[in-house]
Amino acid sequence: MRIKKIILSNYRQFKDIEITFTKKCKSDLHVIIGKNGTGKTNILNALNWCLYYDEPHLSRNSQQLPLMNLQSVDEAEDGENKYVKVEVWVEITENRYVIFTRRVVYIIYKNEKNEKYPKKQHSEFEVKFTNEKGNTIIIQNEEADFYVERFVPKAIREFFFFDGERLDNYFKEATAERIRHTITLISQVDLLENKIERRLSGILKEFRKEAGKENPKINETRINLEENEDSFVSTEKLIKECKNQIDIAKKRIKGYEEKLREIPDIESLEEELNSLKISKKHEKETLYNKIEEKQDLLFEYGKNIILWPAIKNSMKIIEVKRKNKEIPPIIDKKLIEGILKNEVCICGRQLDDNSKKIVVDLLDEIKLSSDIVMQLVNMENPLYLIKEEIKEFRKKNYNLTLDIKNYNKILEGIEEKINQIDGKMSNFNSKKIKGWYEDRKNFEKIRDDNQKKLGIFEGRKNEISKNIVTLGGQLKKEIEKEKKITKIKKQIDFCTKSLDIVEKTKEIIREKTREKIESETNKIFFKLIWKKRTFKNIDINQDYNINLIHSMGYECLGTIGAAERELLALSFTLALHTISGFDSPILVDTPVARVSDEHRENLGKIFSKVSKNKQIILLFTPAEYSKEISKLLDTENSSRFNFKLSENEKETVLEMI
Amino acid sequence: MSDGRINEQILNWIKINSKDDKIIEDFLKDLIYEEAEHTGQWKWKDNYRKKIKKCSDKWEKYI
Repeated sequence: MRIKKIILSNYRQFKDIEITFTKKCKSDLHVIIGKNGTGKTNILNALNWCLYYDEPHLSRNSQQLPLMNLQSVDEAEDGENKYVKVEVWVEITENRYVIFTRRVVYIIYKNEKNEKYPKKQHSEFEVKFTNEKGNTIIIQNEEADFYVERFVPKAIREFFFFDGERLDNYFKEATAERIRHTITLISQVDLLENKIERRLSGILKEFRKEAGKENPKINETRINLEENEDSFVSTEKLIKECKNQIDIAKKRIKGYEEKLREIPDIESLEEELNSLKISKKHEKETLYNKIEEKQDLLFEYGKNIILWPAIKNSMKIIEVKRKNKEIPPIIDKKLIEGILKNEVCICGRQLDDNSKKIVVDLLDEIKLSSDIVMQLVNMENPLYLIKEEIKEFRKKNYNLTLDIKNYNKILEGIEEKINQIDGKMSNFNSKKIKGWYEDRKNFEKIRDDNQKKLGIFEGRKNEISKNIVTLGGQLKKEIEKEKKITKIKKQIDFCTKSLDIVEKTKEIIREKTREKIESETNKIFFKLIWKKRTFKNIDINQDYNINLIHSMGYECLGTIGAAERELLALSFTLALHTISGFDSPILVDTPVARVSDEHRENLGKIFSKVSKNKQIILLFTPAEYSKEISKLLDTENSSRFNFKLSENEKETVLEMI
Repeated sequence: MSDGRINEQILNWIKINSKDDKIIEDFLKDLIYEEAEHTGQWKWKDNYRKKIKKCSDKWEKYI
């Protein structure tokens, strides 16, 4: 199934244009190139407008302009009927088409300022096709919507007609809830969940209410049960919201962790730096104290140190004297001199010549006076004390010198560490990095808070769930007892059983679809990826979180480049096409806008490969359609168009290249 | 156009989960087809009620 042509009449920039996408080669690839403002994105809008009657990709500029082409408004007479029309021709099989046509009729009026403006009158939507018998069938308005749903269902159109940026952003911002929702849509579980289940539950409530009218006890239990059921739904919503918040927080934390992986922990480094600076100050103070202590010590012992050679010498003299037995004094020299002078012995006897001679000889032997000897004896102790003090000084001085040396060494070490940290931090924008750390901390708090809440809500849900089972059983018993309501009883049982089956089916289908999408995404991604050995697999886990696993085993979705991320989203999108069974074309606006030059070529090759089995329409700006892309796609594409604005800028003209 | 308007898996699993209860199986399949046909607003409530009434009557005899 492919788009054969789009015909635009008076739609925005397009006054009268027909774009035919003829498949001329193996690739069903079509390229439209146009500068900004020429209406590329409005092709995407035209398609949506024709099929779903809305324009989801409208730019601010276009929002301010009327739907009708400005040139057509200018050319119209006052009161003239004009229409905006978009036709989409979908080729089902060769030369068999389904034509979707949306037409809105306007009347052009002039206001007081003589300005013309279109006023909407009515709109029409029709689908035209040829049935198997060859008859042309035309179906209009609401009934025609059914055929749109068979082409590309509105709920999943964003996987068929989209802006290239969506490809880049999809897994950046996607949360598990979003993927779960997509799986619900693709698998058509929404049909079971949002329609059949919801409607049957509503009717079941009505039946119970009817039964309650017959018996007040039934009514009381019913009200109680319904209150619990409502609480269950609201608790489930809270759980869903918590899980969503946790999921978002986890993704953001992971993003910051990946960002910060090669970057130093600036906050810790700053903390370390501050603590080092405090230590440095403290150690410096201690060093100065020690230096001061040493100075005091030197001052205190200074005199003794200066006199130390003399002291040492004196001690040596005393030692020698002591050895010579001059110390302590045996004879008092003054006494002998007195005896000689008076010539009288200490016993009173007059000295004879012989005695005199002995006393003179004795006096000759005594060289030092006993006073001096006494002085020397008296000096000995203080000198010994000084010697001991000097010993003490040496010890203290040695210790202080060692301490000063150590503190200097410590300070050198601190200084070196400070320099290292300064060096680490100087290469990074610390304010920005600190911001990342702070954001990560905030998200960690959000995650933790929600995890706590989740626990509480899960507990509450279990409690309510038990109540529902008990009350449901009670209600069943009470209804069974009531004989007047046998019919309603059967209807209630019937609805309850149907709902059980729907619930079970829903969960199985969702799980099977998840597995299929995971497997198909893997298949497509690894078929298309240019780095065959970098990645191991893609994992969509039970909680619908998608992860790309590196060959080394770690999750790497946050660190891959835009081109790889776009390819992953494209693989996921193509997997959804396969699983959903809607083999419709893909139309991508600005497909490589976010991709760096080196990878545009890779992505171009991928679009070319995919277009062998599926129609692809790509809308490029001239800058995006670079030499590399052009070299690749010029030979591969079936058709290439150029959009140009007319001179008055009110109309876009189409050139086939 | 999509060949299988309804995801075949849904129909298969409705059958499996209904076990041998053909009335419920057909009832649910009928609802699925009906919902798939109606993309816009429709009078679903009357339709559902009628179907429930009809099927539960038959079901009464069946069980």
